[in-house]
Amino acid sequence: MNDSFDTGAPRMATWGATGAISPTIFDGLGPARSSVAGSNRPLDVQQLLERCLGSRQLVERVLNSFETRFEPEFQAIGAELTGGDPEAVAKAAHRFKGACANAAADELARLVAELETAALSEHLEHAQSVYDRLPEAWGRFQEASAAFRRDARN
Amino acid sequence: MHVLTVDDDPDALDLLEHALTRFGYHVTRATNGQEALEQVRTGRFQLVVSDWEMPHMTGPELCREIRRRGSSGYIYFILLTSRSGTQNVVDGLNAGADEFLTKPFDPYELYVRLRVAERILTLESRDIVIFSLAKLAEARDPDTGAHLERIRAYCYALAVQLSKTERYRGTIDGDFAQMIYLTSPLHDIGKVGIPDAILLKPGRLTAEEFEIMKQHSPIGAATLDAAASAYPSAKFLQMARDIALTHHERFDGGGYPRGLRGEQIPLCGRIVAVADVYDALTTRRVYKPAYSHDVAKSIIVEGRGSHFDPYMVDAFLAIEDQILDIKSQFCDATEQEGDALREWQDSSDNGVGMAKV
Repeated sequence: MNDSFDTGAPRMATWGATGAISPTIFDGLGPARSSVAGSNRPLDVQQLLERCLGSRQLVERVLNSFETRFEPEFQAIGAELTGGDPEAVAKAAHRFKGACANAAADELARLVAELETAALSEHLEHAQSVYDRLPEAWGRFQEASAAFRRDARN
Repeated sequence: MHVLTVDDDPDALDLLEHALTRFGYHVTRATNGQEALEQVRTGRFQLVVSDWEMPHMTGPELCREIRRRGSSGYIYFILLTSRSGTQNVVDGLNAGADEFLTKPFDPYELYVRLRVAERILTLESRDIVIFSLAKLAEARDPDTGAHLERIRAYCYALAVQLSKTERYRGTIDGDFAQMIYLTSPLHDIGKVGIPDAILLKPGRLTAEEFEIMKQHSPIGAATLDAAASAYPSAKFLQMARDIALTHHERFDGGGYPRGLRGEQIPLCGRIVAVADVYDALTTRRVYKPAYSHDVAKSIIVEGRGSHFDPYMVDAFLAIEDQILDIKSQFCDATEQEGDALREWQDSSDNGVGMAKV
């Protein structure tokens, strides 16, 4: 058998045109990060700006939307914790984790991820303790968000 | 290109839509799997970017449903997920997803993956179009049945065999073999430009008619050359052009249209020459029965160094069993075959006075 390539059935072709990445799309944003999440900041503005491709208007819209979501999502997780169904807690936490990540609310996202993991492991006591820390993290997020808006206006 | 984005989170959809629009895509949003399926049924979408976790129907379930239903063309499915771990990747791939993106997405990564998706979709379309074109040309020709399937399989097998030889190890690789598999069916595409009265003539061609028939090589090459010039990065078009132009050249310089000799004839043309003649010999024509493999083989061997490149003939002999397998796999004994043999005979005799066999 040939030692240089597969001699089996021919595949659909895999060569062809390659597309160059438009250099203008990412202008001013610096090199793409290997991961846009992962800090423990209340709000990672730079990350959110990158994801919004530099649009401050979109950043503000995402932040506004997220700020309206905290309370109902927080209440929903609380209700599931009271209900005592680990799977339901994990599901509610997972949904909120996505919302936090979208808004680059890294600290909240990390806490909610911890809460989800605890629920999946059926450690609801630990999940409750993490849950109780959410309001403080939320407060820090609001401060950071307000600071961003102040900067944006100036 | 239209992209369907699916997510139950409006903020996530906003972010996706913004990025995709900036990248030049047309975006349609769906907030659940059912809505997404309705959109997919419009046939407008070849690209779907979907969240994993959604109420009622998850991303993998949506993907599975799209695959089950089928569609007019392939739909490239990208799953967005904050899940990690091998099992999740396996679950997603099992559902038929093509790609994963971690949430929250990195726009740079999203862009690059979309480009990959576009390339794959383009290649799929290209392969289908190429073979359809070849079939269209074939439809005007009495060559029928699985002629093109056999030709490309013979060419592929010959290329693989040649790649194992000292002489061609550095020249022929997997891509070459794939490319000749893809492009060899276009060898006679120029026949679309030959009048029916000549192309479909059941008897022997006159010298004048044969001169016209010979034009199918340059006609095909000119067509493919125009495409190759417009898309210089599409290497397969260059090979297709070379094949169309040179598959009737003879190793000793007695072929057409240019009378090239030896290695002046591109390698792909020398490979297709053997495959095309063998197929012509071993399939039935209106004026002859199919020759046996042994008879065809003896004619090929007889042409070693005159009609055919000796290395091609040696490769043919080395894979004789494979050739027989392909012949048997794509057998169409009851169908009439075309005039490649006649061309071969005519070209061997300058197109005049060649008796039918």
